[in-house]
Amino acid sequence: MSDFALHERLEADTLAVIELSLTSVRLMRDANYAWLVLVPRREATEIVDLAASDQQQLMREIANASAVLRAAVPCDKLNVAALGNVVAQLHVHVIARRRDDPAWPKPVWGAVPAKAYGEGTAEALARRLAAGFRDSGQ
Amino acid sequence: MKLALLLVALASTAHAQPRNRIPSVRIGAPTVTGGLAREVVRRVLDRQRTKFQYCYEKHLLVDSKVRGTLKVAFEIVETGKAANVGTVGIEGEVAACTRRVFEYVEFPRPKDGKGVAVKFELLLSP
Repeated sequence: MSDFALHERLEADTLAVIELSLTSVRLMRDANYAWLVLVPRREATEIVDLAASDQQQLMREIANASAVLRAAVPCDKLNVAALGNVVAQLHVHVIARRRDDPAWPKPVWGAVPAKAYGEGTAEALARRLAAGFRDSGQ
Repeated sequence: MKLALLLVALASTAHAQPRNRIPSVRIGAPTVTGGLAREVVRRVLDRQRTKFQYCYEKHLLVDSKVRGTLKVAFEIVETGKAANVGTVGIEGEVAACTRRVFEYVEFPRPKDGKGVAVKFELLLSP
């Protein structure tokens, strides 16, 4: 899939964490939440557009990302969602939610403006998460 | 005049340097009273390091200068869960977030079935 290109909005809003076998894992640049975005390197808009084997692999990588995120940050609940209403390129959100986060208990979208990370902090978190993925065998 | 110019130059240099330091969170040696070995408790605490780091970095977004020692005390009950988690030394996000970390931590069950008292410090530096 050498013709895969990350949507410019995802490129701008996230930073790279790690490349898994199917998805590019990205960290959302919003310090309100620890928020991963998994982007399958396929030309697809919906999960059902993926080959059956890719659907299964996506599920494995979502579960793995969930476990890594939950091990790395305080988390009361994981939100997993594929919306794509604004950015059609297939991507899956995995968000660590806390009862005291600014949107709780509602969904994160549209709740409050994104909050910038401190300088270098998002990159450091991305490195810690990448280490978590590597430790998990991915 | 030269001194003034030097001070201006030093100040501008300081502002020009990007802040690349990653905030530091060190876990102090725990004090453990009861039926679990200190090393066992230490290993479980070490596995929470990224969460403590995250809590501190969240706090720094609100107060970029906060630093010092957050003292944490809790009890490991017979199920291995943490209870009665308390913090002193620093208030706010880092304290609340750190207490929350212990809602989901599981320790080995104490050998004698009785509670184990644990105290340790988080040394925070931006």
